[in-house]
Amino acid sequence: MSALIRNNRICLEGDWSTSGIADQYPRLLRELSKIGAPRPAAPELDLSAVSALDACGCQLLTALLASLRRSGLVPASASIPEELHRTIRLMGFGELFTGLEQPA
Amino acid sequence: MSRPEDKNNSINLDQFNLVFFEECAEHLAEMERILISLGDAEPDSEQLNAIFRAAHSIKGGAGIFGFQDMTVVTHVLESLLDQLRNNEMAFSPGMIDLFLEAGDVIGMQLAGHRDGTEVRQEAIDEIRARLQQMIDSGNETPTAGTLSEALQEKCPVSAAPAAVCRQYEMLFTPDPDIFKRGVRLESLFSELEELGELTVTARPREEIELTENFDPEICVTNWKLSLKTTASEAGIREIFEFVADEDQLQLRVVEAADATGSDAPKAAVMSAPGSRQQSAATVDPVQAQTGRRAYDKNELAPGAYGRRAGEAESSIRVGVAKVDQLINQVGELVITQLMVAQTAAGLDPVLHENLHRSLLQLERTTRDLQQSVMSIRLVPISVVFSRFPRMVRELSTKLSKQVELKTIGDSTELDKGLIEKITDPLTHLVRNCMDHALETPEVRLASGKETSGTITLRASQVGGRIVIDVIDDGAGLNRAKILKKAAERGIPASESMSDDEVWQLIFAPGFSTADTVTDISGRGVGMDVVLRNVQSIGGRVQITSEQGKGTRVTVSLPLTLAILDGLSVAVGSEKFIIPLNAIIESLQPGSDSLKSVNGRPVIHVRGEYIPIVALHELFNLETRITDPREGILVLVDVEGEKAAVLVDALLDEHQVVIKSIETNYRRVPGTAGATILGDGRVALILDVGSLLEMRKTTTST
Repeated sequence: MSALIRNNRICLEGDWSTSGIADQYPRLLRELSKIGAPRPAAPELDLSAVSALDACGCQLLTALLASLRRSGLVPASASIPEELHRTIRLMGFGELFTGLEQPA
Repeated sequence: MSRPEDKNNSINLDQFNLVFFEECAEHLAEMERILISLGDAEPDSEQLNAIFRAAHSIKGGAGIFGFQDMTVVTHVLESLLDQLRNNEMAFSPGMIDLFLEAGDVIGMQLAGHRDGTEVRQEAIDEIRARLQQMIDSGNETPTAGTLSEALQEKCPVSAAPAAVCRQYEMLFTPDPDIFKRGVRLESLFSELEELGELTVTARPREEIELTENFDPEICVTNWKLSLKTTASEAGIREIFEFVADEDQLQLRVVEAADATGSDAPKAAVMSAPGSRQQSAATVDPVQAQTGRRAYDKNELAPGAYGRRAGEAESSIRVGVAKVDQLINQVGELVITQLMVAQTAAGLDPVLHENLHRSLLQLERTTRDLQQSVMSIRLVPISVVFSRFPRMVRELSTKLSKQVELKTIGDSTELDKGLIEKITDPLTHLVRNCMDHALETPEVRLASGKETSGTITLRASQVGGRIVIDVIDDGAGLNRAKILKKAAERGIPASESMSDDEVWQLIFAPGFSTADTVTDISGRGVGMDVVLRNVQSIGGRVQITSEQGKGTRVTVSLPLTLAILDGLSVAVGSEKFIIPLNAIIESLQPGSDSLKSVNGRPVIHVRGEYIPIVALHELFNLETRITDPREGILVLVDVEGEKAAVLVDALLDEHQVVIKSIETNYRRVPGTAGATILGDGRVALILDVGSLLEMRKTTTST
């Protein structure tokens, strides 16, 4: 059971900036490898527990979402704190979240 | 690509921040130095460029490392300086003080980030507004409290009234290691956003496979940016100056008719600066000036920022901790070399001729290495002296006095650790001069003196010590006032005391003869702290004064805190080191020269009665030699006070490596540290000055 997937949510947490990315990545790979069937349908992308995000983190986030989509996990909505949303938009990665509605 | 493995691979951005903090402090110091040297004179183009360069470097570094708040004041300062150097604005003397204040605010912000000290936002807002007001209104120098409404608005770009809005399309392809270098692209893009309407699109250069072979710290993303702004191309390129080489930022101007906000870049060719591939239809000839990076290549190009050709980097930055570690290790090497030499001393020099020759060479090489390593920590005292011109300038204004500051011996070098510890005491001495010693112009004139007083800071190396004089031509110490104050405070003093003894009274805690306490000095908490701080680093303070003429305060310090030339002596089974520079002579006294004064043993030498200090008594050591006639008396002189130290025998002269007892054990009174001798034994290094104090305390109880 992957810790990435909880209650139909793809949950990311911790430091997703340059300072923390080297720690995040091995953990991410481990959790990705644990994702099995059945995959949640229309999961929510939850970034509420991400404490820091920068261009480096956005780059990895892009790669992660692309990888999840290839494996059939396509987020239908996203829960992103305003501060992170601003960074994502400022760094030009806003297209990643095009069409993702904020959850009700 | 490298594989990220564990926490050790995480980038520690603190190390990059530390470099920025140090460089920023250097730039601020350089700015201040140039500004102070000007007085109220107009800077020449070289000086203006140097000040601009400093401000520009601070802004660039602050932006890269994410200290966005520091770019606010530096940006406006830079704009104002740019106008000055382009002759778009005339210089006025009041600008010097404004620039100095701007430097202070930037310094406050730096300290806030570096040390966590308080940062006053109102000071930042005020200085920024005043700088902006000067830009907007021309020559007028705005003072605090005369801000116009326009200053309340955010104004990141000083736009000319008739500025044209253009649309720029950029392609930014950074180095793969840009993340690892600690560059914060968010700060860069935020700065662009302040210039106008910004649209950013990130595009990975390649499809990223999340495998163990992928390094997330490597940048594999390009950025397309679209910016609608009144800023110039040069202004935009400046933002990327420190992070992008010329081929990593392609920028073109889109004609106004084409600026439809489309995300897709036009088919027109992107241009790098200096490139011949520029479409005439897309480049505004007025704005077609090569950016900053072109001038990097030609230091002598018109408009270049004034760097002298051939100014090559000739130094590297090394942490103090690394240097200290190196010094420590060389010190251990010296001790080991001594031990080997001592062991070899017992070997037949004929049979072991080669060994002895090699050991001699080893000793020479080790000493040379030690000298070289020690010299790394030596810095010129100008580092301390350079802070005083500004202080004297400001205090002169505050006290309505005219003061000229002279410095002599700026290149005298001393240990970095001493530099840091001597700064506060010297600062207090100079402030005292300004506040108490130097008279107002009217009083000076009435005394037949020049209206302008003089403070001279003089540094020199005398023997194995550094001597720093703080000399003024002011009123001199008032002997009668000092004696009166001493009597009021119950400090033993009498009219029969010599001037030198009377001057020493001012070192008593809380002693001040100031009629009024000012915020500059006079609270009486200064001179005793000065003495204590100087003594804590093995220094001494002496005062010479003549009423009506002036005062000289002399601070003498050891050259370094790491090594010492000493004489090893034996007391019982213990060995001690007496600093050579304190020794006058040694002698074996006869009965006729040994006397007693007030019950204390003294030796009569050339008309003087010198107190005897018996080390075995002070350190409670067992020895069979308790009678001076059977031992050796080593006559020492400490700032004019003499003593005769009784020891069993003299051993040898050494240059010893000083090791701290305090950090390894505890503070031992009467000692200045310890060393390891060639036989591997520890010998205490005597602090002769404190020995004399100990003796007085012991005798009086």
